[in-house]
Amino acid sequence: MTRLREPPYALLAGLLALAMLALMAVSVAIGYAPFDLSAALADVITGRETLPAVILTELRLPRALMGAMTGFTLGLAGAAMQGLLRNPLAEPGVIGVSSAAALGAVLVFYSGLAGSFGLALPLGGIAGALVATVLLYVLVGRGAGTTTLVLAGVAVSAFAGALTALALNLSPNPYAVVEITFWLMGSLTDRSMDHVVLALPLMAAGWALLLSSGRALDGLSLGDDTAASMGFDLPRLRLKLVAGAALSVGAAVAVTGAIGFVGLVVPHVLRPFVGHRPGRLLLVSGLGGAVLLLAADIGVRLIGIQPELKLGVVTAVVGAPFLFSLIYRLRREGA
Amino acid sequence: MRIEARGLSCRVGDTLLLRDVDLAFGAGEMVGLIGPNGAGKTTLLRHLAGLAVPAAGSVTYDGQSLRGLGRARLARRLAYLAQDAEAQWPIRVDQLVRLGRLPHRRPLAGESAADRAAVARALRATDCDLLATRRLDTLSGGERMRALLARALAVEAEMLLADEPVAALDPYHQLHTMELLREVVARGAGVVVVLHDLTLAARFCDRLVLLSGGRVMAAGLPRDVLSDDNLAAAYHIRALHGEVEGTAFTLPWQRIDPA
Repeated sequence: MTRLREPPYALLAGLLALAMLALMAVSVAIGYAPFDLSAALADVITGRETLPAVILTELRLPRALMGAMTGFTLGLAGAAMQGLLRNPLAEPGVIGVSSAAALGAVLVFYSGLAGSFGLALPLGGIAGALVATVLLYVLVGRGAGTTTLVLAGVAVSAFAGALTALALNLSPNPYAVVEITFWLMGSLTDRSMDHVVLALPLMAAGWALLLSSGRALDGLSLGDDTAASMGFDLPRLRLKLVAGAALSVGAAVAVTGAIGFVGLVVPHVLRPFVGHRPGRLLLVSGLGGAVLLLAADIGVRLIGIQPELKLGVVTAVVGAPFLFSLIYRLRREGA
Repeated sequence: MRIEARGLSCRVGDTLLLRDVDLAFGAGEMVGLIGPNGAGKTTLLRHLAGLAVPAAGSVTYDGQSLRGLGRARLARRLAYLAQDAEAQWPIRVDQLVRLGRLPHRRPLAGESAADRAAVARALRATDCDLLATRRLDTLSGGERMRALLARALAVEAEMLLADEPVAALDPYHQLHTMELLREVVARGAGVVVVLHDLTLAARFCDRLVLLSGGRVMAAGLPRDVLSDDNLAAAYHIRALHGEVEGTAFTLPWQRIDPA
């Protein structure tokens, strides 16, 4: 029997949304420099370009927005991929777009384009994700099943990983290697409003594709044949989810680097609260991802260790033991 | 609705799983698909449900192809219960059964009163009332099978295609399930059911289709299909035939060594 009473869905989603907004506010309010938030707000509203106003609009706000957007993407895409593959071990990067986006960004570093203009890096990442998606479609085609999709994802991922390693291997100077490695660890530091504007349309398109697949994912939990007999066009659903994950996760990785575990752990934690229904999990998992990522990003600033801990490192260091405890609990329940 | 297979063939690699099958199924009758392992029963049922593309021939629904009718519209008129049906996540029984109403729901619309009534009927019919709030991973194999059957019944479709719905059930629930399928027929729907149990097939089905090696070996009334010659040729068995309370029964009795 269920130990947890399942809260009403609207209440759960509402609470998570509130928590997300609260953490965004906290994220805006804290930082390394002394900063008067109310003065900055007043300056922004009155249109005065003072230093606090610039810190607010150019540093704090984009960081909070990017954190929420990236977290939402990872949580949502993780839930969608777990639903599609009917496997709790799936994560947003399972189809290979994360590695490909990382490779795209690394190639921009490697070629020296990164210094030429501000958005070169995320654009490279997005290009990488798009190439991977096209490759995936070519490999998988329209009729292929889920196993083929996973295999293609693993292949794309492995190839992108190998090319990333090759770029590091051939890197002419050690500083570039350090810079690339640090970028790969994932961070929200020094992201500007330009980054937000670049990533948001892609992410929003991806979110729409993923969030509108809820019913089909519910149907899919009964198996391919049963879902098809319930009227769901499975090849179309797969293409839709791959496109949704590629757009949103590709954009997220391109801007923030690889941040692990959010997309794996958040759907896991929230699944019992929505009665294990994959469709219901999508939105709450996105909100939960935003909450977790914002909290982690606030954490790295509060700890104050310098150089600042990379977000991907923190989520992995906190996420992995959490996964241990989850596995331990699952084993005890005999599930 | 009338489902018609014409010249239906299915090929996987070099193996022909179905050869030139011509059959029709309609409302108001229960047809049993029988045959030894590997005869093509499940393959045929999947083709009838529009889940597989035939190598040759066609399946039509009231004369329309799947493409013409559309998968979403077919889903409201035809329910399919898969063999070894399983739900991946441990959802609650009532929520599983509610999935059966998804084909009837408009985009973004909630559940209608008709949806809720259909779910309640399906839960009651399958004896799942008391299981409604239990999670699937707390059920026995037989209970889970009944819950999955309830999902298919909740569609309230014109045709119900069920692949071995009694395989995991105890005798009480085997009989109960067969009676349930008869009730579906009594309400005017059609049922096509894959069965291994020849006794149940003979007793509850209006017609039987005996498949062997992907071909239709015999089709018609149970007593004609389950003749000694057919059983010997398809199954290599001999059966006892008798009559109890005016109802004929068949009981598989002996293996015949293939000469």
